[in-house]
Amino acid sequence: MDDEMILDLYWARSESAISETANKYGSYCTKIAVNILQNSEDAEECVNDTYHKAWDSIPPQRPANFRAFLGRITRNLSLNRYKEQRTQKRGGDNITLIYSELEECIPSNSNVETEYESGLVAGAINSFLLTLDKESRIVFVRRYWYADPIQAIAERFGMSESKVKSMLFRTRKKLRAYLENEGVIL
Amino acid sequence: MRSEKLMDYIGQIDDSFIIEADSQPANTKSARRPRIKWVPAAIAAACLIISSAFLLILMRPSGPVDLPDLPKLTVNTDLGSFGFEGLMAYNIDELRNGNPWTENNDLETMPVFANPHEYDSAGAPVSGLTPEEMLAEAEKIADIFGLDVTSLYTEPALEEIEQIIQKMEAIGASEEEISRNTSIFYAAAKCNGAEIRVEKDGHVYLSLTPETAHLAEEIEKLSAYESFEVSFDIKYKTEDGTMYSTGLPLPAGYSFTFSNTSNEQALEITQYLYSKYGAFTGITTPGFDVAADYTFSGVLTRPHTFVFENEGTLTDRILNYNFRRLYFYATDSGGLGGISYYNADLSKKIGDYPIITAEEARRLLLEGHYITSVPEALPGKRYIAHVELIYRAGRLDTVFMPYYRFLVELPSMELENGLKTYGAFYVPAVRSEYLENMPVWDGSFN
Repeated sequence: MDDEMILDLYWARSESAISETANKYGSYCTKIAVNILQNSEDAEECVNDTYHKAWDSIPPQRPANFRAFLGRITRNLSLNRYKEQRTQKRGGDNITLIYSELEECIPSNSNVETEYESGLVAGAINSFLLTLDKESRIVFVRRYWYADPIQAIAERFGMSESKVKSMLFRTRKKLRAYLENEGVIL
Repeated sequence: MRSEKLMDYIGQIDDSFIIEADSQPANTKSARRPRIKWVPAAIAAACLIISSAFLLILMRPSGPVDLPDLPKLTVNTDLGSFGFEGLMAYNIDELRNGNPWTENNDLETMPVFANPHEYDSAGAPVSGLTPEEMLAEAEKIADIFGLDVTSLYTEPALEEIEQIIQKMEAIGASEEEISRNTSIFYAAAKCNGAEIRVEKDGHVYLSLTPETAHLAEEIEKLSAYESFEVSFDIKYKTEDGTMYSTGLPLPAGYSFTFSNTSNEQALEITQYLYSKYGAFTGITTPGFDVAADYTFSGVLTRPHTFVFENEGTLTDRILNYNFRRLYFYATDSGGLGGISYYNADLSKKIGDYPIITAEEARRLLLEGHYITSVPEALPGKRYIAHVELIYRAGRLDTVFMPYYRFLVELPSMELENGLKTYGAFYVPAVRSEYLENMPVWDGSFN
């Protein structure tokens, strides 16, 4: 069933909207949740919550890109759950590593108290992504949006892990410089 | 922790980057593909040369054909958020639709049109009506239906947009950046018993409650719009508080449910609905499409049916089938969920392009010259179950051009209950001389 038909089911408040969503996008959402939570039970709960959130949002929303819409919900729910459970984590997990990598991107002028609208920062990151070559951009998004482990990215693109790390390192440096240049403060 | 904030901001990047990163770029070396040793590589290269030569022979005019001088077209190889386009049925005959095209025809050319609307890679309109024009249209529609407007606004609100512009200007953002972050999705007019929305590309949405549902009988008042949708906001609440739509109740003897409505019942209800609501379309000889497929659990499902003008030349009928449709939407409970009309703006005709036959398209398909969202390669000639000529006219298509759409049985996906999955594979119907890029499947899941 294509996305338009699934969205029609949501708009018609048909219960089958959720089962069709699960059939088509269950594995996509689960992968994102597992990447972040690294626990299949928690991931499953987040994915189920994703379906319910979609049910509550559509209508009135009618997402132009249903796949990205669901992925975004799963990512947010999973990160929220991760933060709630952080005290139980012992460090060294995938998200802890990602957070520590992202520390390198924080602009040096971020000791100022001003904070920027999140939409503006996201806009600057969008603009930055457009400056990258396609390969670097995809690897960056796989790591920091999909939270893919380095090894998974290397396997996906047929690269060595060291090459992936090196690409990410260069991209993080560029992002920091870009954010500094744009005057973005985090 | 500032890196957490940054991670949250990264979560807000455009849909297009998320989708791009979820597809396998054609120029990367996938570790999932087997490494090619030199002997198979040599064979593959030889096959490529032979097949390319065959393609040239195939595409070469068989006689002294005078090919018209027309601009080259770019094949859209991006299927966007289509996901995996697979239809489930116990046999291919159950997937027949109302397409008037048949393989036995004498079509030599088909028209190609520029998409008059511009959308970004996530499918959001980038040009079209201004906020003021959207608001004016929403008010106008309320007026023609005699509805009192209780609030009129845009989403996001104009004040919100103004604040973002000021902040972005303050940090020296470019016009392009400002424009990208300040798009208005739609204007809305809340009325007593109804809600009207006008989107940037001109699409109109009218939601009616039980008190105003009778206004659907005046649907012809929206006929000037390229596309519109009327839905019935008639719901019931379950014990757990969840709301379900019952849609507009239909006369005794008619029930329009998503599931397990037979083809005969679907045709009967569509004919009834067309007679009640379809006069404004001016259709003289209605054609009916009541196509359905099955869910994993074997339930026949059909979210909607549609009616099109089936009068005129075969070309006219094909264009009507693809570009001028009156839809009726089902509900779980048997009522009418909504009505929508799609009458594409075909004013930007590029030309009448020579096309290949279905047989020639079949050969191209077998050589890998296709676009698909199916996550596996074409399983073989004997699995090709159905072909039809269709136009791809999605938001990511900058031109509306014809394709042969093949439904191919995917033996690896057959279920224990006997349900088969038929995957859709697309081959451009326009002759290759007019294509900038003949697609070649690269082994990736689009």
